[in-house]
Parts: sequence; C-alpha cells; structure tokens
Amino acid sequence: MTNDDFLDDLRADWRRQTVDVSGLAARVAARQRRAGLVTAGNALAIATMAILACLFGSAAIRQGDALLGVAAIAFLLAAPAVLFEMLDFRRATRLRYDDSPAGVLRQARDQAMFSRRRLRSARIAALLLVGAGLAAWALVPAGLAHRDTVIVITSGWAAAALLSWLWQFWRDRRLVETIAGYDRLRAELDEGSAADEA
Amino acid sequence: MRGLEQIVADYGSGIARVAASYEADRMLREDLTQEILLAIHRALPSLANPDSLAPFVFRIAHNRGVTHVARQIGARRAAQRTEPDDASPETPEERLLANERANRVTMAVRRLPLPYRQVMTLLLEELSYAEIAEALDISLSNVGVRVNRAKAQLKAILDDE
Repeated sequence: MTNDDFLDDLRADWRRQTVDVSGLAARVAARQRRAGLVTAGNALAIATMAILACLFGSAAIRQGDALLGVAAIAFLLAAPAVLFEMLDFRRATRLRYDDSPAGVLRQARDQAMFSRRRLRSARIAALLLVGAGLAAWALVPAGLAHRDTVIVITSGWAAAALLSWLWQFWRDRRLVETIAGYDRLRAELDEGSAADEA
Repeated sequence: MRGLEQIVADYGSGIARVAASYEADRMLREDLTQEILLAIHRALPSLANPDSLAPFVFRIAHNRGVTHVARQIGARRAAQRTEPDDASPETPEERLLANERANRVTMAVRRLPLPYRQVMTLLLEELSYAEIAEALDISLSNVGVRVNRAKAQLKAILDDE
C-alpha cells in the first residue's frame, strides 16, 4: 500500500487480471522445440535442393541430357531463397532483448532492413528461374528436349517463380510497414525523453 | 541459473499483464507472453547481477512487447479490441464488475504513450523507482517525472470514459 489512493486502486484493478499460468512453461518449451524444427526444416530443404541439383547435374553429364542440366541449375537457383529465409529467422530470434528500449528498436530495424535486402536477392533468384524455363524451351527447337516434358517442368518453375514473387511482394510491404512502426515507436521514446528534460 | 518453470512461477502473471498492455487480442497476447518468456530464457545467461532479475525480466518483456507492436502494424491495422479476462471475485455480479474495472484499467494503460505506458505497468507491478530506472535505462528523476505524467494522463483517460 502507498499513501496514493489513486495508485492503490489502479494497482488493485490491474493485478485483478489473474492469469492462468498452469501449463505455460510446457507451452513455451514446446514453442522452443518448434523453433528448432523450423531451422532444421530449412537446413534440410537446402540440403535436399543441393543433393537434387547434384543428381540432376551428374545425370545430365552421364546421359548428355541438356534439360536435366537446366533442371540442376533451377534447383541451385531456388536454394538461396530458402537459405535467406533461414538467415532471417535466425537473426529475428537473436535480437538482444536485454538491450535498452531504443537499442532493441535499432536492432529490430536493422534486422528488418537486412530482410528487405535479402528479399531483393530472392527476387533475382525467381527471375533466374524464369530464365531457366526459357532456356529449357530453347532446347525444344534444337531437338535437345521433348516438348511435353518441357511443358510439365517449366509450368512448375513458372508457378514457383510467380508464387515466390507474390510472396516476396507481400513480405516486402509488411517489412516496410514494420520499419515504419519501429520508427514511430522510436519517435515516441525520443519524445518521452525530450519531455523529461523539458 | 533459474529454469523456465521458475521464471513462469515467479513472473508469469506479471509478464502476461505487461503483454496485455501491448496486445488486446487474447490469442496474440498468449503468443506474445510465450515469446517474452522465450526471450527471457535465451537472455538469462547475460544477467550479470541475479539481484536485478525483476528489472531484467520486465525490461525484456517491454522490449519484446514494443517489437511485437511494430510487427503487428504490418500484420493488421491496430484493432484495439478488448476481451474480458479471468478474475476470481466472489459472486458472478462482483466478478463481472471486477472484470470490467480490470479491463478499463488495462485499456486505459494501453492508450498511454509508450514511455508512460512502460513506466506505469512497471509501477503497477510493484517495481521500485530504482528498478524501473534500471529496466528502462532512464534516470531516477526521469522515472519520477514520467510516473507523475502517466498518472495524470491515466486519470484523464479514466475520467473521460
């Protein structure tokens, strides 16, 4: 109790929000395990793409199949997008939340800017995937690939490139809004500090 | 070193209340509470002085809350929706009234500008001025100034309702 009735009443009402914390530790531990699984899943996806690229590459050399060679390149191009996603995830979980409030906002903003730069690289990867599709089509008139096979493969690549592009566009808009949010909150903190000094 | 369960037992309710000052949606609030606990668990090895655990815990809670708000701005247009929280007074009528009062205070705290909201939630969690200064990385005199202004603004918000 204090000699401030207003504060005492506020505190009583505030602390009346009792929270059921039973099972909370278990839910947090499960979340921690899931986070580990996301990282492991991303690493597995990159490894799978690298292995497939090697398999397609070696098959292309052994069979002299140009289309398999293009497929190997396409898998290699898709890997960076997954790798960047993994890097973003790891950076997001490594913010130092025991820093000062302004310091955490600065770190979070830097991380969001880093993610935007990575998105640009992933967009280039999507364009290269479209380029790989065009290269595959160029093999058809030269008699190096069957038209039906090229239709199936390049449809998949085109869909992957389109979905990836749309996802990146959506993600970039969210990042821009998030960065604006960090700036706004930083301004609020700065205003508070300026008001303290006034 | 304290484990996750000990942190939840000692600070779980306080952390959830701080999370409520940043997030109105019940599901997202639970999510944020879990994220705060994870961040505390990860940061615990960097705690230099075990006597400063409360400021350390609440500093992380607020910092994680702030980044949550910024990320949610990207996810949705700050829909300030409030749902009733659990409470445990005697009769259903009293419970309803108590819930209403608790919600009113939480909503009012949520409307405070960030620097005042942070100071006020820590004060309501019974941290001393010195602990608040340590948690928010500001001077003791600034804590005093912000507490007075936060109380005045909170009073005005509650009177307006």
